[in-house]
Amino acid sequence: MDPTGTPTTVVVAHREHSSHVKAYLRVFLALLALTVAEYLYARLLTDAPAALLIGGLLVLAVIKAGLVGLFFMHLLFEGRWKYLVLVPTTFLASVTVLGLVPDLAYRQDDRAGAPPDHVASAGEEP
Amino acid sequence: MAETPPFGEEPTGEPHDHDHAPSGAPGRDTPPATPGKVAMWLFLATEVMFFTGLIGSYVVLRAGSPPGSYSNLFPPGTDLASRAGAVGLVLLDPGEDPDKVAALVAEAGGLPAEEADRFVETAGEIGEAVVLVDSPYEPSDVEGWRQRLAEAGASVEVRGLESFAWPPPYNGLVNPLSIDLTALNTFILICSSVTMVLALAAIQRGDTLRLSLWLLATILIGSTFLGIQVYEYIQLIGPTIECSVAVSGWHVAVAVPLAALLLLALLQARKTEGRTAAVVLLSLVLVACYEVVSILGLTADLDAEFLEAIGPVTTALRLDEALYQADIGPIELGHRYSVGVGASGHFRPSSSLFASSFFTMTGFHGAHVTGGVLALTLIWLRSLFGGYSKESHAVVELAGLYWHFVDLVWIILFTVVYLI
Repeated sequence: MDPTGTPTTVVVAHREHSSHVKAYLRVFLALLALTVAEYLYARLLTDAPAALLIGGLLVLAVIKAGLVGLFFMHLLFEGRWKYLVLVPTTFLASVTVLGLVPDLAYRQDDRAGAPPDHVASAGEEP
Repeated sequence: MAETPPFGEEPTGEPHDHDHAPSGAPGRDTPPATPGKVAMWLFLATEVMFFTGLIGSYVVLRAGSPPGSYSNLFPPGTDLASRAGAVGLVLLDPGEDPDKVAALVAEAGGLPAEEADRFVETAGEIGEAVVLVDSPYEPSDVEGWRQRLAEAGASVEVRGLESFAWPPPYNGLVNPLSIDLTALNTFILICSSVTMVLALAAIQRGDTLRLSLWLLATILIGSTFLGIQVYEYIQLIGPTIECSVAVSGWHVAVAVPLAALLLLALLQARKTEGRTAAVVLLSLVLVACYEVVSILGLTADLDAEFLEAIGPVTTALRLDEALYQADIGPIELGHRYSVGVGASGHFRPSSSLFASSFFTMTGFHGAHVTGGVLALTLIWLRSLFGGYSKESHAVVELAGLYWHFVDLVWIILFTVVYLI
């Protein structure tokens, strides 16, 4: 804010605050719409291929989380210092999960060799 | 670079709340990297790793769960190899005479009368539940009971064995989680994020009254989220309340400290501005309303359908009833699920790997929300005494960062645990 605090500056600042409130409300509506979309997506595609179901839901969840981070947590407005926190965290979190993928693949390979033929199997793990 | 102010009085992260653009970002109107904000983001980074660890473990446990771990007719972990030809009688709808159906279910399944009532009630809500199973280990006259239940007006059918590596959503025979209720709760938590960001926007304008009101709204909405989560847990776990030792501890524990805090706030508010007293009085009225509704629930003979219709409050009223009528003995709360959910008919941490994963992840998140509500309550009380101003409100922003992070984590958990 302008340190002189002249009336003109105050009016401009007030308008900018109002525009931020409008942005928050638009993000809120977007989050609600995405939550409804997620709910309907999961409900209507319950029997769809796992990749389509999981992929679609994760994309929607990431968009929602991104909106919260960018606007409500003000990441969109922060300076470059934010990358010092976000990049290592994102890298380590990704490695933590991706490092488990080979294990998952081996387990699924093992399982594919011994299907449960004694019962009608449904909804097996993707 | 600006001189670093003491913690709690530093400039905040709002884009217009500073005098200088930081070095390294010429031409962009970015807020300064204050020590408090950087510290909070570093803390949130550790929280990201914590929840990533939980979600990563969940993915491994789920993907590594062998086929046949869950089935519609037997408890989780049952060896299905020798039960291949089993069939089960599934109750889809109790019909118009649930009491008669419950009596038949009690006889067929060997359940105590009260458990049979809750079993039929739960089946009606979820849409399906296994009454009894015919297998080499438990021979039963499934067809005979199907006819008797159908004659009593119930909708029933006989189904074969189905197995799953992990309980799929929308399958009430193995997965008791209510996606409808949790989608509503997700909506509620998102609402609290909006009220939190509006509280910050208010104090950035210097509007202390709206800061207090939006903070109060955030606290109430956050508490509602927690209340629904507790309701969900009660329905899933089906706890037994020992009435002989429980007196009106609930109201003493909740109402007395709240009333004391608010009275103190009221006394302080008289020394400051009149409008803060209005906020305090409004809060006192809310607490009083809660007590009046609770007492009405105890003394008035409310219609049972009305109690069911008001959902989560029903459980609170039943709990109140149990607490006040100390001589009626133990009372069981919550749902009574089909056998595929858990051997006991409840969904408890010991029921299955799915159950223990669910309670670990949602429980840790709930603990974070509880911490956030407590922190926001302290901040709200301070706001009533004029503790924040347009120039000094860093704590509000830091608490907001934490609150939005908790919301963000729930968005991921809702998708991973409930929907997928």
